[in-house]
Order: sequence, then C-alpha cells, then structure tokens
Amino acid sequence: MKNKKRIDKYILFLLLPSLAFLLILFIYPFIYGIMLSLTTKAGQFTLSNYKTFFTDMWELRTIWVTLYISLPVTVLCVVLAVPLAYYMRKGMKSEKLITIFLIIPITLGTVLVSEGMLTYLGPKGWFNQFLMFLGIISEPLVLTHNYIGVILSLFIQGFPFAFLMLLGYTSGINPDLEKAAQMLGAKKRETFWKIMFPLMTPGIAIAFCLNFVMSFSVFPSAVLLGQPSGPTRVIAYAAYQWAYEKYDRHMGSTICMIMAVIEIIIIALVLTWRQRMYKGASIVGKG
Amino acid sequence: MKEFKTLTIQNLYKNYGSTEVLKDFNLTIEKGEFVTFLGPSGCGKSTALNCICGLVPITGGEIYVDGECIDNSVDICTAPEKRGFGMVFQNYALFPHLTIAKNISFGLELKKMDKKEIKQRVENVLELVHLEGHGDKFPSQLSGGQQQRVAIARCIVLEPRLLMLDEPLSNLDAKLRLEMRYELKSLHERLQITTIYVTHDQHEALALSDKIVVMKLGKIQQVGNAQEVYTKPVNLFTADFMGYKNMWEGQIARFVENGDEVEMILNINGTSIVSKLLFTKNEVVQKLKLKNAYETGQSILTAVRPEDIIAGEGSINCFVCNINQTEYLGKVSNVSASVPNGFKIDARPECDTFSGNTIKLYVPPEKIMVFVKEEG
Repeated sequence: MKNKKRIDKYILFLLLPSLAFLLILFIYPFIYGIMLSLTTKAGQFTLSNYKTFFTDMWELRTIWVTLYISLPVTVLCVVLAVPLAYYMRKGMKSEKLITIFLIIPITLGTVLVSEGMLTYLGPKGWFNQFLMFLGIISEPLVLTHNYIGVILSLFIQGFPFAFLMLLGYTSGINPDLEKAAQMLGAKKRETFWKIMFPLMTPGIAIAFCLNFVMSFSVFPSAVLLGQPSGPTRVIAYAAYQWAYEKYDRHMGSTICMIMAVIEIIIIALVLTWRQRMYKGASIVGKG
Repeated sequence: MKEFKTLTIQNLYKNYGSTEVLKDFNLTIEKGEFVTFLGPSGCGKSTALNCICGLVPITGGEIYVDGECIDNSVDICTAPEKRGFGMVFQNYALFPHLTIAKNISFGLELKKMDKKEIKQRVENVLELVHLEGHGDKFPSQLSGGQQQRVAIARCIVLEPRLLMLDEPLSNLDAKLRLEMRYELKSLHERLQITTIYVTHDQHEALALSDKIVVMKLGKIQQVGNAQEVYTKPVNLFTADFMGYKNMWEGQIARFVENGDEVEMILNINGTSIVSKLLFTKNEVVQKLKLKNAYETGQSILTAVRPEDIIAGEGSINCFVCNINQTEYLGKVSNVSASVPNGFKIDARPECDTFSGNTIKLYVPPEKIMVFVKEEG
C-alpha cells in the first residue's frame, strides 16, 4: 500500500514537460499580455487603454461587427451540421468521399481558399458568369469584398469542423437507444427531439464554442474577402492595426484581452445551455 | 393493446445481401407462453427477434397475429411502435439523460396519458421490480442488475402483448444472472405476459422456457419443451448444444425393431456397443433414417451425456479405460478417458467411485443416442 502511494507521487513528475510547455507558451504570454494592456509605454499602471477602446466608437463597433459576422456563421454551421451528422450517423456508402471534400478546405488553409473564392465568386468569376449564362441574373452578384464574402469563407472553413465533430459524436450514441424509443411508441420525429437531440447537445455545444472562437478571431478572410476599411473591420483586425501599424503593443494587447473576455462570455452562455439540456454521459457504458 | 391468442410466423426469410440469415422460419406462439430462441452466436436468433418486432424488414414470409397479417414482406409492414410489442435490449438501452421515472414513463407520456395515472403506474411498476425510491436517479447511478430491471419495467409498464428479451442476462455476473433469472421467471408467472427470450445459454433456456426453439445458421433445428429438447435432441447439433458429448463415429451392425423399441449394435472402430432407444409415433422419421443407414452402411454418430455414464460394472457396454485428465467439480469429477484400442469417453462419475489411472465405465444402452452422420 505504502509502495503504491510512492509510485503515484512520482508519476506526477511526468506532468512536468507538459506543464512547462503550458507555462512558456500560454500562461506567461497571457499574463504578459494582461500586463501590457494595463500599462503605458513608460511602464506605468493605467486603465486608459481600455478607456480609449470603449469610448472610441470606431474601435467599439468592431465588437458588433465581429459578432454580426461570427454568430450567424457559427449558427449556420452548427444548424446545418446537426441534421447531416444525424443523417450520416450509421455510416453510408459515400461517407469517405463526403469527408474528403469537407476536409480539403481545412487542409488548404484560409488564405488559399480565400484567394480561390475571390476569383471564383468575383464579378468576372465562373459563378457569376454561369448564372448570367443561364439568364438567372443580368448583373453580377457582389459576393466578394463585402459581408457575404466573409460569411461564405468562414462557412467553408467552419462547417467541416462542426460536421466532423458532430459526426463523431452522433455515431458514438448507442443505436439501440433509438430502437428502444421506437419500441416504446415514439415516431421518428419524437425520437429525434426527445432522445437524440438532448444526447447530442454536449457535442453541439462544443462544436458551437470551437466554431465561434474560430470565427470570432477571424482575420485573413475579413481582410481578403471583406472590406477591412469599414463594414468588416473585425476586432482581430483592429488589434493588428494597433500593434503593427500604429506600433502600440499596449493597445493591441488590450483589444486581445477584450476579445478573450467576449469569447469566454459566449462560451459560458453556451455551456450553461448545455447543462440545462442534459446531465450525464451520452455513451452508456456497461452496467 | 388487445392481447392475442396466437402469433404465427410462416416461412420467414431474411437476407443481408446474398447472406441468408434466416431460412424458412416457422413458429407458433400461444398466449402466455415463454418461448426461448436458443443457439450459438450468428445463428440468427436476434435477427428473428428483430424481424418479429419490425425493427428489421423481412425478406420473405408472413407474420400473423390472430390471423391478421402484420408483416408479409410485400405490402404490409406494421410499424414497430404499432405492434404493441415490448423489447428489452442486451445493453438495456436506457436513456442516459432521463431519470429512471422518466425512462419508465417515456412510453406512457407518448400516449398522452393523464399525469396522475402515469405517476401511479410508474410507482407500481417500480415496486414490481423492487426499485422503490430509485425513480429520481439517473441510469448511470444504478448497478447493472438494477438497470436491467428498469429496462424490463420500462417495457411492462406499457402492458405489451408480447415481451421480447434479447440476451438480457449476458452482461451480468454469474451470481446476479441466477438471481435475475429467478426474478424473470417469477415475473412471468405473475404477469402471464407472452415472452420471447433470446439466449445462447442452454441452462437459462431450460430453466425458463415453456418452449425452446433451437437454431443453427438461420434454421430451426428443433422446437420443443425443455424436457423434450434435453432428453430427445433430434440431431447432433442440438445434442451437442444441450450438453451431450461422446460423439463416436461408426456403423450400425444390427438393427432390430421391437414395437416402438429399437435395439442396435453399433460398430465403433471395431468395438461393439449396444444402443436401445424408444421412438414414439412422432419420431418415426428418425427411426426410418437409422434403418436406412443400417441398410446402406452409412456412418452414424453417437451422443451420450457424461453424467449418464456410470462408473462400475455392466454385462454389456462396459469398458476399462485409461484416465487422461480429471477435473474436480466437488461431488463429481469430469473424467476424460480412453478405451485402449479406440475411442475417448467423457464421463462425470462421483469422485469416490474411482482412483488410480484406470476406471471402469458402463454406458447404459438406453442413454446412447444415435444420429445419421450428415454429409459435409
């Protein structure tokens, strides 16, 4: 017994490398960022950085601009991924093909996809040419360098994440639960809303949070496919401008901290919803 | 749901692609019966269950409830939720996000039943399965045996006209399995629900069933009550599955009919063994098969239960054997022995009846089953 305890104690040392990484790569920079945001260039404590942000409408509105982009995209991704993941939960013939198509945009990276979309969806691009050829439209649709462009780009990047995550989640739910519900008299719709959906909520919540964080910190898409000068001047772009165009790292850090707080608030809201929907493990182990 | 008098399954077939999982499945189940589908894994017993309850579409055949067709594989296929059958799954399939009470009331709420009555019914059924006071817990807070009882409660609260249990005890440990087996039996006796029970354990089948359906590779081998299947297996597979051993291959050297009784002298590797069997009117086919084998010289196989072989003397069928291995079981021992110039004998004599390296074994002629060896 004594011996066992000693071994347990030593096992904790195995945590050291990962703790060191966490300390060097996350905790230290984070604290350093907080310090930066709370000091002047001379190194004095101040709240003026935050005051500047919250009193300057040009800066403050980036919050709404970013939320206006990231929330609809996240909702769209998750709302479309849920039925698809539900539909494909038992696996299907073309599953591999669909998965490959969905993974490609992730592997290519944001910049390449954005570049592609610029040409494809641009006024002279294939998409508009094709629609005009069919006679559906007479003038090219404006799909780039605006709000829609950013939304589309974020959707292409975010949807695969949400889908793959939810697919893993739904296919892990014991298929007998659905059969059991059916045997107890539930129709397909009732089975979905009373059994499957509540069981999927933890997965939905996680997919929503990760997607939201990704979209909220959008940068390349907003610059390449949007109008960073105004309508899609997102909060990450504001931070970039302060830090690397105006060379004010203190103000840049301040904006980053505000970003973090907003993200945490949204995540907390989502997790509260999840908690209300469902407690317990969805994948039932043995008795 | 109205109770039925008989459930009839006719010529049921089920294919998955080109694999035939069920072949020509015919069975009649009477009200109140406890029917067991018994067979090794892959014999189609669970598939048969899923076909009857409608979770799996059938490929051919018909299912009737009191003469009314509920599934004919063509244009009639009553939805599972409309058949009024209840199913208990092997892994219980309790809804993990709902409390025990909510799990049980799930089906009642779908029926839009009065709240007060639901509450009353849930309480009654919890009492019936000895889980009073557990209603507010979640499934993960209960033990395996308790979860099992919730799964059963969730079914019977709906008063199904047929209760189906898919290997319900296989996830429990040996002691609990016996307890639950006893409880299932007493539950069936109290409620008189017609039950189909799927298992691969012949002891469970024998202990519980009014009717046992022995299956192999999608085909029914034998249908009968526990005693029939135990004492009169119709073929080698059933015999093997019901615990018969001592499959010795040989020929029939003599075949004498004496009314219902048949006396045969078997030639097993040069050793003569006498078998005396009774064949009733229903078993004429088997008698004719053996007679045919005698006339054509076809090979036969014997089957004898180890516990039917007696350590001691006999005027015939008595062999002095060398003991190869013994397994101590308490009152008796498993003895694997071999006759010096021939076959092996598995016996289960009482421990104090033998010692040393040799044992004298007597095989009673009326205990030796004989089956014609099938091709392939």
